[in-house]
Amino acid sequence: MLILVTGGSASGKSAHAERILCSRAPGARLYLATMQPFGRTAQYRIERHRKLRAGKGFETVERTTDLAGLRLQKRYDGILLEDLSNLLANEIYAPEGAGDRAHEAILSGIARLEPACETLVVVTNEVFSDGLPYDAQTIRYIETLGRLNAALAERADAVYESVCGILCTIREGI
Amino acid sequence: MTILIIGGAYQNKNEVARRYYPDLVRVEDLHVRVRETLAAGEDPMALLDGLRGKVTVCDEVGCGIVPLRREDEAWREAVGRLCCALAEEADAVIRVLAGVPQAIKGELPCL
Repeated sequence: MLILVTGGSASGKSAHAERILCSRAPGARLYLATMQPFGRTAQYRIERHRKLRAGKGFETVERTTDLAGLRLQKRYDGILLEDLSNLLANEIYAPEGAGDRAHEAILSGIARLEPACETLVVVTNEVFSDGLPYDAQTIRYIETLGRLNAALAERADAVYESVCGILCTIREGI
Repeated sequence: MTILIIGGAYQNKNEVARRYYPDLVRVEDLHVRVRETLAAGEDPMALLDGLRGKVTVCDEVGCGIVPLRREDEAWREAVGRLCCALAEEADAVIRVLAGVPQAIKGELPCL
């Protein structure tokens, strides 16, 4: 089972993704964190997400690039991957990232995660509507995230968008 | 009754607020008020009290690339969190796209 949760910044998507995962995965839960812990903003977000997850029985694994190379020690009821926009930025911008092969690297990584659990919830981000002009590399980032979202949504069992903390159903069922 | 109307810029949100909630006091451009509040060094979440019992209109500003300037990023975050808090209390949340209102919480009143 693959579930995609999207939304803009500060739209409540993390809280919904956790709630969806917890309701579907009663047993072992893994939180797969993709954010590089650099800078004050990142620290603030990581701390916020830690508080959200506290007491919900998540194991946490940090994985900022190369999802496909991740070796999990056991099978999980539910895995929460948070989030695609950070993972993609790491793959494109970090020295150890996949660079031009970011799209394929992330899709194959997610394909490896799916059989490792009953329910995989992937959090992604709506970054497509500020209408601002960007440099070529940023445009490539936006385009790649859009293609990733579309590719995952196509085979996801459900797609949701969080808007002002309200979970809107984009699609349920394939 | 507390109502939140959101959507992108220039989607006729204020017109929807006027048409569907003529009897409520209207607060327009909440995203601008949040920026002013931050600029004054105050907590935008304190605006929540003054929005109860009114219809509030706010641009959805979170669907873009993380802004480079720290104050822009903080503003975007504050607008999102305030809208989440207001939406939780609101009797209805209406999202307007191309002038068409859709209730994502509660119901649109019949005209």
